[in-house]
Amino acid sequence: MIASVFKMFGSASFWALLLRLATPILFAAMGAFVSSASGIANIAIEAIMTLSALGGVLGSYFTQSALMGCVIGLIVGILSALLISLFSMKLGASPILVGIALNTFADSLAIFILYTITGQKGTSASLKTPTLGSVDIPVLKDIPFIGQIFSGHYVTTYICWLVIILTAIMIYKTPLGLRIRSCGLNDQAAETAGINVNKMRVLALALSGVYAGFGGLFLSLNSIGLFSKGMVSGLGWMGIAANGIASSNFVILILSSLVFAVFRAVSAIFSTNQAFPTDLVNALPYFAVIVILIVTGVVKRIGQRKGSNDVVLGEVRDKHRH
Amino acid sequence: MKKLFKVVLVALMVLSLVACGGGANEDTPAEEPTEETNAVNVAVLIPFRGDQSYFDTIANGADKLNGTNYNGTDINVTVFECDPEGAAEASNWANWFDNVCEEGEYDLVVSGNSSYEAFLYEACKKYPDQKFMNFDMSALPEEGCPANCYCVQYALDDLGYVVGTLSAALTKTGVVGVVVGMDNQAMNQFISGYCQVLADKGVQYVIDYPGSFTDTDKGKLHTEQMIEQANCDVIWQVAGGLGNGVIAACAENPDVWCVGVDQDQYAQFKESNPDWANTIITSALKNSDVAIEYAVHLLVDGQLDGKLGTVEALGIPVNGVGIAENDYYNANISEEIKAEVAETLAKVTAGEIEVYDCLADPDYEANWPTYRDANIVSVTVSE
Repeated sequence: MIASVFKMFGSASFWALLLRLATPILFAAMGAFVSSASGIANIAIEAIMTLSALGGVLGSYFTQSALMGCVIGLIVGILSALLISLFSMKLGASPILVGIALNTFADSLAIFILYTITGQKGTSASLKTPTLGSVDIPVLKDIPFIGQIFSGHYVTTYICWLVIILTAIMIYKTPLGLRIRSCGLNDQAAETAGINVNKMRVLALALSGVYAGFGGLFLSLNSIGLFSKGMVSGLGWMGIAANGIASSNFVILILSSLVFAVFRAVSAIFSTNQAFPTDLVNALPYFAVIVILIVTGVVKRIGQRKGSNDVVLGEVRDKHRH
Repeated sequence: MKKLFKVVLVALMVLSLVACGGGANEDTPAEEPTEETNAVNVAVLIPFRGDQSYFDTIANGADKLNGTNYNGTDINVTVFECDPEGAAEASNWANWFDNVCEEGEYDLVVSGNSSYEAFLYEACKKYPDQKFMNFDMSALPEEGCPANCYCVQYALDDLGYVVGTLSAALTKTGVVGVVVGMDNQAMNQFISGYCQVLADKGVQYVIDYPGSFTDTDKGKLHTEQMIEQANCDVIWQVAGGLGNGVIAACAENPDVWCVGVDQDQYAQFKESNPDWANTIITSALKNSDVAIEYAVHLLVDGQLDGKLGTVEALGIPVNGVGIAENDYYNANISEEIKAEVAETLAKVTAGEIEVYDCLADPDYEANWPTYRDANIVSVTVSE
């Protein structure tokens, strides 16, 4: 297995596969990141992805336009993320509890809505839905190795990388990003400095809804073209795990999402290889999440003992979060 | 803002009340049997409708059977949706069985399948005078088949043999594939005949176990791998909702045929998604609805009592399994291949071909890998 894995890394199709697989995880991870950067945890990424996936398909069906479907899916994403701010910031519930409630609620709500509209509880297969397509990049696609990797992906995959760049700039190079981060680091200090903490957090949650919404749209409107019960199946949680590893470092966030995607790719390729127990191969990405979380936890603990700067900052942030 | 929130909350509550009311109406029996005519009442307990696959086949079949008359007896069938979340919560199912069995108003209670049959067996014990049917048995309880239950299995090995024959005839690349939701004995019964016939014919095949019945994106991805890396050009999906991803991937590759499962999937997608429908050459049918009709007719004829406590494998002769020979199949398959498939069907039915059935194999763990790997090819990424 090890040898074939190494062979895999040399092939263009593997890297193309990786980019495709990483898309929903990256969106989910950024969704978790931006909200926790502002100091409010959004663990309802999975729920938002599910609802946006459905909203996108229904929007696309009713308007018969994939673009409008996309817009409606994102609006659904924003609204469901704002539910967290409504319940936690306005009504004083713990954002974690609200997140749990949303996660348990979303699947059933999606089925309920699907049933009301289509009379089906499993999939939206009976709805004629225009979908988002793939893009062949004109010149790039003819370059042998590079073209194979970077051309011919889904629209949302390109949007994803554009969003990554924009988000990095926004978080680290704009006053807005600084304000969002300062709310997460120390909300009282931010308040004193004249920043409207609540406004920043609502904004961050709305953004998080947009990211998670894109993740859902990738799955429903771009990859398959329909909504199917249980289709998000843990990708949102992978994003949250990536955010847990990153501890407010955007580069580590992207890298850890990509590492998860590597394991998903390996699992996809080896699920047809009967030499390995299939259950084990299918569990590989989730197993990897646990192992990586443990390893980074230990590394952080060691760093803490040495008194590294990063961790101290993290501790300060944790202390002032509540 | 607060006022608006209150209004929305009230509206939601009212809406949910209305919705619940609607659901309850559906669940009550369609009509009380009149005293003059003979009638049988049948209850069908399934987790939910609307998977557009397996459970829908059963529910739609039950709806069709409801209100029909067989040999002068009216048949009333009521479908109960017991587990909309598919949570397989034991106490919940026990409640439903209590509701249905306590009054003794149903002549036959139908339920089952690998995920839910344990609850059925519990009910069999609790209500010894009630007649039960397991419409899709995968395993018996330790003490054997309950004396008041008629268990049905399907000759899926034969079905796989026929699909394998068709795949071998259709392939141009010499490699075909199958996506199986889970790697277990019950699911592998679908492909035991499939592997056997392909190995006999020297056609290579890929088996993919995505380990899920819902993850559509995974289904699409795995199928793309099978097409791009292993050159599969006929792909059979046996994976419920995940199979939608398989169909989507096949539809994007004009040279690839897909074979559907459980119900006629060409007919399912013909209106809403012609691109998908046009990639589905035929579907492997597991006619659970036919099995229920068969059992109900046995009940009316008074022959069911003799079959209680036994397990029966319904094969091609009683239409328990088969392939969808729709217009699209007839228009796209050459007469030669059609004849070959028909001949295989006949031979399998007559028992002239010995088909390996991994579900009936007591030494499954030892024998299955040999059959599975007879002519298998693994997908590896090309350089």
